[in-house]
Amino acid sequence: MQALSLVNQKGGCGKTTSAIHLGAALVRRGARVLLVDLDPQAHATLGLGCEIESGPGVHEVLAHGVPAREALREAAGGLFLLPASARLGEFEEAATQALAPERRLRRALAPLASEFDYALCDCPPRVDGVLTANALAAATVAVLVVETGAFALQGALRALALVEESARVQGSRFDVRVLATLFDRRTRFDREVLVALQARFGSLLFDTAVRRDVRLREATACGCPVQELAPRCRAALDFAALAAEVQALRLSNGRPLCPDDAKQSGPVDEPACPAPLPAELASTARPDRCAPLRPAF
Amino acid sequence: MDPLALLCNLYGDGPATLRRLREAGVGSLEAIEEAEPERLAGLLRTSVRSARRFQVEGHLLHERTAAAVEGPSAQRGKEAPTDPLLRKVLETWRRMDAEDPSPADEVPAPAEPRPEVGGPPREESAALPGTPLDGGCLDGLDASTVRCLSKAGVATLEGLARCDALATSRASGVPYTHLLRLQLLARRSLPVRPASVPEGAPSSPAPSARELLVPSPPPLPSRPRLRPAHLPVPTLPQEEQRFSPAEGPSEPLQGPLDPILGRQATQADPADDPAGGPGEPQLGRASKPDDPPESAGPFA
Repeated sequence: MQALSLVNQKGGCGKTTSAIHLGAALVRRGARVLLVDLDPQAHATLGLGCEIESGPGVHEVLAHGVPAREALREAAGGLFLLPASARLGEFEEAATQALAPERRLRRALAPLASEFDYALCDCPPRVDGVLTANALAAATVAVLVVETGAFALQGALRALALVEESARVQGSRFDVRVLATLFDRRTRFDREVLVALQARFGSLLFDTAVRRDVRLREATACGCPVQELAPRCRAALDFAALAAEVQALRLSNGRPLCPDDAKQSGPVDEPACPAPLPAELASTARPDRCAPLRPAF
Repeated sequence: MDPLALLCNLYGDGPATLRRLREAGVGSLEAIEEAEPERLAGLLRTSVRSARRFQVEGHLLHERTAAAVEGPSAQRGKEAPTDPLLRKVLETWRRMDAEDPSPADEVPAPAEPRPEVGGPPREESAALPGTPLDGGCLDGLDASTVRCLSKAGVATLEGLARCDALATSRASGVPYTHLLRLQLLARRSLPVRPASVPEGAPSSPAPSARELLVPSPPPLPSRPRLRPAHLPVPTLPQEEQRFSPAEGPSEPLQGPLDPILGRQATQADPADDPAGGPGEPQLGRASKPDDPPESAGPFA
């Protein structure tokens, strides 16, 4: 099972939307997809039409050791969901007294590794919390979701620095990809930001930039993926193309989840040295570095 | 992101356009430039004119990305541009320079037109005298950013205001959006006419490529002329000349006495009638005989 964690410390950049609709697009391409809602705001849970507080969820899995299988719910679009609740925020505080709390999600998902092809983790809008650390520890690919708006590059570089720090501290191994969202090609500013993102991240940037579409908001309000509401709209086409890219991803650093990960009590596959980020990111992850990045093309 | 994917996102229909192009064997920006516009129009499902524009944008993006790969020095060393539009502009400028050896020769003529997109920051921006950049002169401009910018050849406020943001961001490592904001602040802080323009320079800027190639309509006069210039300006007779109410009439006018105020009605009291003088129609206020006087107040 490949786990994709959608991260950014900025709120409103499209993490939850991308998680829901990318998951549904992967389902339409025949994949078995599990969506893990790690945001205490539970927007992914609500966006898939599920009720919160109606049973065990991610909080019970992480805090009380409830098996993930018992918390699974079927959701719209053929997705399976590990729902969030408002109590998930309590886990952030309780985790300060726990031992290696950032490994719990990986251990919890390991028994499901043979039943799903993809796990999409929708992270809260902060990178330095234990919930995001859990998502990164379980991730094979960290997808940095970047809105093509003001301060996009600055926020992306800062988030990358934090992701690098998290990977170094935990010894996690994952690939990094960048996804541009909320793109509006009618505005010159968005076009310039997309060019700048491409120049900075090169091949790490997904070919598909998810365009701004009102159908996405309507689908969220309806509690279903956009593929069910308007399968021919441009957002559905964008996520279909993104799903094809995700399925064609070739991992260079990340290691897929396997059932053996559940047996490890300590840090998983602790490497002798911290896992290095890809060479293309090595000079960009720190915003204070001034060395220009050679574009990948 | 593939440059072709970037082009499709910027000027096409995103992944749909990209898929159609790749399926047709058009997999790079060079292939876009070489493709027949009619065939490209069929692939893009647009008109031939839109396909040509797509090709132009692809060419510009290709130049931009090539400049990023080759670096600023390689871009500066280019002598013969391959773009026919650029060639035409350069030839036109050279011809104009040869025909008109005007005092503008003292001003160094631009060797090549200003690139519309991309391109390195111009070196002369740093060489020109101007306000040196230092930490704190702009909001958000700290010492480390100044160092990064100076390494990229931007050392003055004028240079920062005129540099190409994307190329400078690449060269300096300063985030693009942050640099855009600094550039905006630098432009705001500069005077309207930059002090770095050398003396003797022509007042009008150098003609752009569009101005050279597209015949522009005759310029409109700055102020609408009400009468032909050769006609004399008519003068009003002395008694009809208007005066401003602040100055009052030059000569006291003779008229009937106001029965209520006991004075000449034509002698305007500035407190009662600040808008006009005697015999002057009041603008913006209807003069009705039934109107109460303004000084009466609401309890009158």
